[in-house]
Amino acid sequence: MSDLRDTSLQGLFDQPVQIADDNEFVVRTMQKIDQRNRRTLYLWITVGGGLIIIASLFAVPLEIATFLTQSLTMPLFSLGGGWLAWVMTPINNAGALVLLLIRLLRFARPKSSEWHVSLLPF
Amino acid sequence: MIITLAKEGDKDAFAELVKRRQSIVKQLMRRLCSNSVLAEDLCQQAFLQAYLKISSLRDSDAFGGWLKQLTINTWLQHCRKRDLLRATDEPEDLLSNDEQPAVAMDLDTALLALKTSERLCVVLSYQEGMSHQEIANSTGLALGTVKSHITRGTARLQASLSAYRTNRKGEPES
Repeated sequence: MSDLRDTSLQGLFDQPVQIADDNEFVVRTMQKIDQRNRRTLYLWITVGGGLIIIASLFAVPLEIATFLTQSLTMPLFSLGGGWLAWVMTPINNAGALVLLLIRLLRFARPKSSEWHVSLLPF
Repeated sequence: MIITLAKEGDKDAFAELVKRRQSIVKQLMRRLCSNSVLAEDLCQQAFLQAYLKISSLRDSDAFGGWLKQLTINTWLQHCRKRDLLRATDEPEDLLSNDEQPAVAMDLDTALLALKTSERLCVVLSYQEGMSHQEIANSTGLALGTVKSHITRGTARLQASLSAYRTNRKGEPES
């Protein structure tokens, strides 16, 4: 099938349709564009404001976390900058000491069943 | 020149483009829509899309075709929202309306008797002079579907309009 068109129908479609250039249409269209731009601006302001609020809410916990990270990775003994310091890095820090203390406490603490036994008067 | 200015974000230049191109967009949309209010709303949507995307237009000379494609996309989007492109979407058969056989039926009314997708293909073919392949590319429909829509749509239009002409000939001259 080719793209040939029915001539009588084509004649009807070719008849000029009177659509006058409407200045009101231009004004309404531009108003719609302005409205859309304003809405986008408000959305960005809202999102930006929201992000600032969230950032300020998380600022203090974030500072604490940063402080903890820095203090826990602080070396306990100064071993210089050689290979020994590099090898000892995983255990030569405050974090490793805290972890070791926790493990020791858990090891030393009697199990719950043993507590019951020890609390009995007989 | 105006297109270049509009691409750079000049709103006055874009307003001038709307002023100059509105009749082309309106004409296409009015053939596709059933009512003028909806047609105008969709025309505004098409121009809004043009405003938002004009910076991505590479070739300023291709503005006319680009705007036509945006108009078609706006119409297709509207149809998809309302699920108007379904194959089962049967239009009202105006010819079988026995109570009003002499219903005045001009081209726009006859177009309304077509299925939405048929109407789109017929209007793009006859009004915009697009080839079947171009229509398939623009609408995303398969080439075979476009061809069958145009064949069936043309037959329906001819039937509608010949009945209208017969009725008109039977009417007394006023």
